Amino acid sequence: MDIRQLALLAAIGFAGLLFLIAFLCDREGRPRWLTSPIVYTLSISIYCTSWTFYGAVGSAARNGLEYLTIYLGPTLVFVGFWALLRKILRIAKRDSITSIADFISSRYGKSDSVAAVVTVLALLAAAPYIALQIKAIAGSFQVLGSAPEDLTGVAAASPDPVVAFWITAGLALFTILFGTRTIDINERHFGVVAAIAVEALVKLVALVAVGALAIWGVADGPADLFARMEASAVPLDAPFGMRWVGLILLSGAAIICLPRQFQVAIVENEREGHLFTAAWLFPLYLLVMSLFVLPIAVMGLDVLPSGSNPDMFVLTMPIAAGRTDIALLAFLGGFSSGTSMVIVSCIALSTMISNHLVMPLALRAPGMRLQGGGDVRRFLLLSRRFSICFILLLGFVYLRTGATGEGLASIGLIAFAGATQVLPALLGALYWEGANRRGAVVGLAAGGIVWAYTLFLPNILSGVAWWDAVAMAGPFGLDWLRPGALFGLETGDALMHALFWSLAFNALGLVVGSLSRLPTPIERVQAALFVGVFREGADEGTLRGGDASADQLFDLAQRVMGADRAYDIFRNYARARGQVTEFPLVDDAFIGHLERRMAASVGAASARAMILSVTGSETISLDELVQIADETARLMTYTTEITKKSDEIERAATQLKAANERLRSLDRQKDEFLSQVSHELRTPMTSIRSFTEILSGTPDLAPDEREHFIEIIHAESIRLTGLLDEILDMSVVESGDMERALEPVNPEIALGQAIDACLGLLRTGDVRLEVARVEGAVTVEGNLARLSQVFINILSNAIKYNTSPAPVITIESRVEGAEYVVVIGDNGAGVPAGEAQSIFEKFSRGRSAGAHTGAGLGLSISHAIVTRSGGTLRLLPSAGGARFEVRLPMLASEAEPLA
Amino acid sequence: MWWRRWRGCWAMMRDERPRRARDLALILPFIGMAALMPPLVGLFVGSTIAGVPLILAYLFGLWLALILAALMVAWRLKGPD
Repeated sequence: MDIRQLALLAAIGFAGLLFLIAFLCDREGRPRWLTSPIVYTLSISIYCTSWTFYGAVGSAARNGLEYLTIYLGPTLVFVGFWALLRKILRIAKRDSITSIADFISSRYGKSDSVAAVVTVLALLAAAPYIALQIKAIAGSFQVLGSAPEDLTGVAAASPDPVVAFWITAGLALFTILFGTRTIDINERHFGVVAAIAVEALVKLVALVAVGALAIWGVADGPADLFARMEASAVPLDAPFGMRWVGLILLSGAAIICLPRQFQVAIVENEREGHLFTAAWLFPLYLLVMSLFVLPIAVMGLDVLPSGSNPDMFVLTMPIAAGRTDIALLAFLGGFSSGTSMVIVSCIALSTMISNHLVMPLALRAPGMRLQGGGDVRRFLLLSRRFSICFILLLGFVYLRTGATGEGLASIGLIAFAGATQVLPALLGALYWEGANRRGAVVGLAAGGIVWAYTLFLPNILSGVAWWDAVAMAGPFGLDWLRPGALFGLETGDALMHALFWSLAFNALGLVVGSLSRLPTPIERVQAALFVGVFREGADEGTLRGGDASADQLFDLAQRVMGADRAYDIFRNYARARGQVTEFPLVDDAFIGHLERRMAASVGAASARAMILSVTGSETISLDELVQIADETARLMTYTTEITKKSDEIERAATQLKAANERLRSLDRQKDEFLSQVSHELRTPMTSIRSFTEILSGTPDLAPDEREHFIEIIHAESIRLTGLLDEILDMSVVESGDMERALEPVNPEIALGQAIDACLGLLRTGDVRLEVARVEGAVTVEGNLARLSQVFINILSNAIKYNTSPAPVITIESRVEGAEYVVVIGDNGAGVPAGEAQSIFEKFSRGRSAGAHTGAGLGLSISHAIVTRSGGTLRLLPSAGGARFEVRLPMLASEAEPLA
Repeated sequence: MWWRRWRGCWAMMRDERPRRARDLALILPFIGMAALMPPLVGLFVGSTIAGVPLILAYLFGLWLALILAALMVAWRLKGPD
């Protein structure tokens, strides 16, 4: 059998196998392995198309390591999945996003126009990409069919149109059978995913087999390979300049922006956790693929006749080496990479076309009222099938007209540059809340036009006379508008030139367009939901009720999703909320839920338009929004004021309460004092009166007795005077009118006087005195007599109130910094904790004061005196006994030598 | 003792693993990009190491290192899924 017939049979058999797999997986009860992260990762590797399988070797043979950029870019994106892909995935899952156009339009206010622009752009960019696949598959057929001695594969560079056409037709049939059998609730295709996962394995195994053949079959192991690499024409020192960086960024953008990559990585994703595996497994897949490309390129150049087409080395080298089996495997690998790309691309693009171009037009068409129209679902399927044929036809036309004589890789890069125009709008959608619909449309249109003008059109139209004239001299003779050197930028690299200008205009358009007007309410809502997707409580903004009945909504839903599925949605929703009726209560939440479910079939913008046609309500208008905001602001101001006021009132009440408490305490002290004073005054007065009465009533009193009585009267008078003096002192000190001015004095002298004055008391009480006094002269500002009074007061208190059987008084004076400190302590009972606070209060007396003389003014007077001298008098906390501390600031000039 | 302190450090490092993994996840693509940028990548052109062109060893080695780092990040950050 001819190898070509064999290949055809193998291809058909392989396609049948894939179909079987897809069919089995789409049936109910999907096998478990289908939901594994490995299948997910393999499905993402549709990134490796014929371009990789055949073209990467060609690229390596021509430009050396440049082919690596196409795989390094996606590696960086997947390795950094946490920031970008995870965010896109989270949003897409929440909002049931169906495509990249849906994602972007959903963010920019669920806008039809944005979705339409993205769709048209994606369609244009897909044409060269699909042309590339057709060319590669047709070329591989041709290589297998050529004479055994002709292994150059040059013929494959411009494949036979008839073969190409039949391949296109076959692909269309294949894709329609695969991709549009059903409209899935979430626009997902489990069978397709399983099939392309198998294809991903086939192409990996095939390329590795050919690579292994190159290393160990054609070359003599790795050492020989590297030796030949040195000598080969493969340029390993390719310039790592602008183009290197540009291509890495371009391919990194393409892995997110290409509609089919978005389809497999985001839309078909089962769980967010799968991304965590793909983050490293997909780069690993790319690494293995890339690893075997270089050996094939080196050995192809080495053993195949010069002038051979390097894009076909993967196929021609095994044939040259006499390994037909490996050549057949390589053919299947190429077939897999081409078909899987075409299938997924067409599914993604046809979804976009039907949801964002056909559906909006149908909704607007006067003859197609939804209420009266046919089944939306059947209409959608039909439009998708037509779209698939249209997309493939476009690819075929591009193949016939475009300058596709170049290597596969350069055709693919045109498509990449086109798809990348979505990037600014996508990044704006994810990270810039201020980006709005106008910016997105302007940016996308500007970028798309510049890309088409500088890269797409030159590729299609080169050779057409009028275009060549434009390319040479610029349109209308405007030299600075030449498509190859816009604004006089001569780079010599058409791709980098186009990429630079298109992205520059694109980004500028996005920024200027967005800043030129305020976002509408729905844009604001969607921006917050997209940018802040990881924020707590980020949930879908919903339509507001309107007056739709459940019947109306059901009628709408069953047109879009079919009666069974619509019924399921309605019943499950009602059941989940514990409603016993068949149809749920129509509220904002349910309408939002239904809109999301419908968006999964027809896209966000169309779903909203349909729902609006039934509910007749608009989302919150700007006026309403402003009104709500105003109300909220007013309410908040009001609340703040009330809070402030009640705080003030509470504070005032607390102060009032404290003052009242204090007043009452003072009043109580005054009463106590008055009764005390009257009692104190009354005792000596009574005694004086009674003794005077005796003296005057009994003239025959014995002289010594009379003498005794007079002494008592005298002593009592002195006590009375002392008492009155104390009260007088108090009022003098308190009123701040000291009879003598302050002057520099030595407080040590006052302390000495005080100790002397108390010696009598000390002796009668049998008190031991321990004194440690400062040495040298100390000067403070004060009054000697007053200070002496302070010390006497404290000392006499210490003696009087000392209840210890062996009383000890300690007097300690020292200099601390710029202060003179005297501490007088005793070993008595101390001051009870409850009285420590009020001990310096006027009219206050200790609990055992009744047993001792004095009006309880001593400490209060002392406190006032010390305070007046600028010092402090306080009770030190201590374990046993009372310890009083007097602190007086020293005069600066005298402090120095003592410090 | 020095090893106690070292052990304390280790425990702290372990407790902060999720945060560090998140930081690495954010910075990883930028590290990769910087390592692939011209001034750095150009250093490896021209020489060979054990018969293998150094630039090949560098690019594929870097690639593998990025994959391993991503594997570690994914392992650490994987929630209850």
